[in-house]
Amino acid sequence: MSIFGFQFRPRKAATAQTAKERLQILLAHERIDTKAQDILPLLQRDILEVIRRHMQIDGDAVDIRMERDDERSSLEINIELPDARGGPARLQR
Amino acid sequence: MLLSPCSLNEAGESLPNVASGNGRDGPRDRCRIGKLQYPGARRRLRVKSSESSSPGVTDQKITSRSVTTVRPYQLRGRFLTAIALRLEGAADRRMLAELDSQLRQTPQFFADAPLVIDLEHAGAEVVPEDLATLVEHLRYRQVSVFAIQGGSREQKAAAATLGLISIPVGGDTAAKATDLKDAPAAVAAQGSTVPANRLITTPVRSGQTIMAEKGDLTVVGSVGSGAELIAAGSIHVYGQLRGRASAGVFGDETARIFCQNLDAELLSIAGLYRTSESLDSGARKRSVQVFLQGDRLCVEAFG
Amino acid sequence: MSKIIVVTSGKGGVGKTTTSAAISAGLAKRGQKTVVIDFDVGLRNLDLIMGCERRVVFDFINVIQGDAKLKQALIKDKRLENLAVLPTSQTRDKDALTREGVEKVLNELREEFDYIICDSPAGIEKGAQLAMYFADEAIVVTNPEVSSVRDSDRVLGLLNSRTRRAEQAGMEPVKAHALLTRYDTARVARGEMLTVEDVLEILAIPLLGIIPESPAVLRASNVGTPIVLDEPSKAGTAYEEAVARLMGEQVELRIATNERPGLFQRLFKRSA
Repeated sequence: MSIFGFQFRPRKAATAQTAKERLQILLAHERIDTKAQDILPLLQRDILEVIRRHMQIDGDAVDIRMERDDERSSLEINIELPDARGGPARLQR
Repeated sequence: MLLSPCSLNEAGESLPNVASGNGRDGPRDRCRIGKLQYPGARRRLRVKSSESSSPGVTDQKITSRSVTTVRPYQLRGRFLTAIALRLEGAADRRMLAELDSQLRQTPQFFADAPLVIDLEHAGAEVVPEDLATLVEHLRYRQVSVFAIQGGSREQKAAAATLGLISIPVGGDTAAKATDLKDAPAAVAAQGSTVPANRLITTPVRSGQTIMAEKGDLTVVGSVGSGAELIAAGSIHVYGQLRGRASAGVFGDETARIFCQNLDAELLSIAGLYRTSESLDSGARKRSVQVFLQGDRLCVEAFG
Repeated sequence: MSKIIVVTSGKGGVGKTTTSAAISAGLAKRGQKTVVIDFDVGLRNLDLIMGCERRVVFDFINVIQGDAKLKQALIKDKRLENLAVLPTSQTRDKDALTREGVEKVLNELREEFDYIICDSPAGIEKGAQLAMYFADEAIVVTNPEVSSVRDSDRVLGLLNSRTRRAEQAGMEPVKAHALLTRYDTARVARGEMLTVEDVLEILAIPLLGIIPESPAVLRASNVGTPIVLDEPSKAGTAYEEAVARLMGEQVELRIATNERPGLFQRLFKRSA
């Protein structure tokens, strides 16, 4: 569109597009994930309990992370296990 | 179990009260004990040592440092600003129509404001049926009428059946006591007559209520819109007055309101009020004094 | 000694979250270890404005309720190493906040950070009250518009009465500053908008800065970058000056004109 030979700058449209994309991903996750978000702390606590039944570990030995992007979400669980030789070993899944 | 008293701050507002007896919130806040403490709340816990079987068992006294109580309520003094609707005659249809027109003009003034029907001047003209009609009329229009004052015995009984209380004549009519015998008693009842003036040197923020129960109130600074100043005596504002000012609230008709810059929502002296709509534009934003002359509230600009 | 600063306003939509993001990023840029906390439980937006919405796993409420450790909930900013964000829950509401819980988290944060910025929700209910309760200083964000000024005045009253510093004898009161946002010089010139003097005369507190109305603000929030980290803009510069004043520097107050001159002026300039 132009008036008097000047173009209206399309620059503004670029950031709106980014905003739209960010929102779509975020809201898609938030709509299905409302329960999932509350589950993470419980999951962390339950995993800690289960492992504790079998071995001695610290209260903060279990760490849960979640990454979300356009194509997939991934759940990462880090568990720090006590090493028999004294130092902590790491189990990653 | 800790007590949950409220302290009243400088402005007379009460600070958040964490209710006792509710186990949900966990440990309580510690606050200063407020002025209106329920007497006798201090207790000493006595614990008998159970293993001593010998005579002369000693009671261990444990005195708690903080005040404790297991009372589930507190009694507090509360000051309420209410509108008095003084009837000058019968509560007939014409009166109701005029009242309606007033309600339409200043609806905000009446919304949520407790109202008292003053029957002292109306005398026997207001029969119980009329009172019932009036109350119904007010309630239908969402006006919170809760009491009558200055009524005869019949009127008081009628009020009671309508769910209204009868408040003793005092308040804005203390100055009008016709019986000389009553006058000194009324004054004495208000406590000591030694004035205690209040001075506020910070701006009064919107939503705050400042009260001077005995004496004058002086504010050095501005008064925000939505704020309220209440004084038994006069009110002096060295700044812009944007909120409401009520002077002479206990009936002192000689009280005045002075301000450097008038932009008030409401001004009242001894109960007689004017809202910003009826305030003359000539007085707006000027240095003024407000006083009662007969039954009129006058606003005069200085200089 | 760390400082807790609440960004509040009473009125909604005046620019609190934008300001919280800008001020925290500005402080971090200057080498101060800063954390910004979202107190708007249930309607969180700070994570979106800061651009870390996809990395929120645990939040403020989880920490208060003991379901997660503070370091699990804190999100380190990818652009500035001195900056961290503590997001709040999107699924709970303000009842999940407790004074004791908030105090505990703030005390833990004090050990690591120089500045703790509390982004208050709008209103004067629990979320806003708790955001201001432990504050040492306050930035009262105000638009030059009547209802915003009145609400800011109300909030100032609360800062002087319902905060730890107001309730405890012997403590200095909360130091409040005004930050004027969405200032439009053209509208002020036409007499449509309150002037700076009008606002300050009513609020009677020192002025931290004047942020001009700017399309840069929208662009920054679209892409999830605090405005001071985005491409240079008048609003960004105004925020950086405000940060300098917050840190005690004397910076002369200039009122920047709006970013964009009117359409007619642009055409006129081009054609000449």
